[in-house]
Amino acid sequence: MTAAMAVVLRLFLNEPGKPRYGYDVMCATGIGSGKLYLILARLSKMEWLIRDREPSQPAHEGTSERCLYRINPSCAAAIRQRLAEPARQVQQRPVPATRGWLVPGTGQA
Amino acid sequence: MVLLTWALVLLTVVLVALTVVLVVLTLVMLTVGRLSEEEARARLERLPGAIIGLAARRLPEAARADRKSEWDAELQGILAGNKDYPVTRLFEATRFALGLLCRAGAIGLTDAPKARPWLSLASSLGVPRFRDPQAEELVTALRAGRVEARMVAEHAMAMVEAEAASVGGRRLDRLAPLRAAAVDGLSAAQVTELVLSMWDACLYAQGRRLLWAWLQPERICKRQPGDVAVIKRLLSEHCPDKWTQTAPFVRDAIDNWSLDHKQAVERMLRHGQEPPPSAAS
Repeated sequence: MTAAMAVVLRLFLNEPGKPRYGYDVMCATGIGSGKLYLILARLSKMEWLIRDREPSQPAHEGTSERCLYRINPSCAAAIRQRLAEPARQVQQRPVPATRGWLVPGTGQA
Repeated sequence: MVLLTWALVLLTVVLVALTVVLVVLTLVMLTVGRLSEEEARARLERLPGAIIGLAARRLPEAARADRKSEWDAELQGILAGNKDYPVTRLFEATRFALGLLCRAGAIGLTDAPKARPWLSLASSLGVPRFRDPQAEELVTALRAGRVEARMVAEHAMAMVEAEAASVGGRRLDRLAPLRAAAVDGLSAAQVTELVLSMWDACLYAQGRRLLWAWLQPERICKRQPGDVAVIKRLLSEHCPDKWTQTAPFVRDAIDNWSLDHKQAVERMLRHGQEPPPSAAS
């Protein structure tokens, strides 16, 4: 899971019942539109997010309806657990002596 | 005296005429200016929509209409907000659309229906997948330096031709064993050499698929930023155009890498920072 993906999931988990549309998530997280919609597409495909069409309003007939995303309630617990994992890994991971380019496959400089 | 009076009258007439002409010209200029402003405004407001149209064209046809209507609706939302700040509104909308244009290819890959859904169904039912022991032998020999990448690419070519020629053969991914062996056994330099040989044999999609598979996240522990540097160096040396086309593809392929490694690769792609020679060996 990427850092950006984790940011998006945390946003949805903060208010699990609240559906959000793409631009709203973009403003809340500061992630660019291209990357955000890629993440939303992946999370929807993994069924971690549920994607619905916004109910049409009589005042806005003729205009396109936005897509609303919300967290899949059946996956929420698993996502929380998954979000907690990388934090533990980061704490346990030893800091490498040299950063930068490493020999492919060996993990040594 | 009479002459002076006539001269004054003439001067007055000329001045009045000039004033009228100036007023008319000013009115014409104002009208044209306003019309131009309206036209420029209308055209500029259509720009983000046009960019979104372009982005949607990069998506697979099955997902295009759905995504385009979603993005159009978001764009309408952005354009409807910030009514008092037209420049900010236009900037926001254009930035939104450009972001989508840049990543539409990757979004399309996510949205694309699975190329051969029956393959996973077949494997779950216990139907054996296509086996190619020769591919594994060739990859082992390539790793040991006993054969050239060109020979492996020729084998891949033969597999693709056999797949195209056989009745119903397209249901089998005959390059899967070769890809799996290459992903498990080859280094970055060897896999790039193989991809280049496949491209020489006009197996463009297959070469890209091999590179994609090699960079996949389930094998993340085996991959390092230095590997991308090796791929970049070899592709740039052999055909610089190919690297230009491959860089965004590599960026998408490593999207699930760890943040540290991704940032190292991004730095390299952005600034052309090369790894020390040991990393390229």
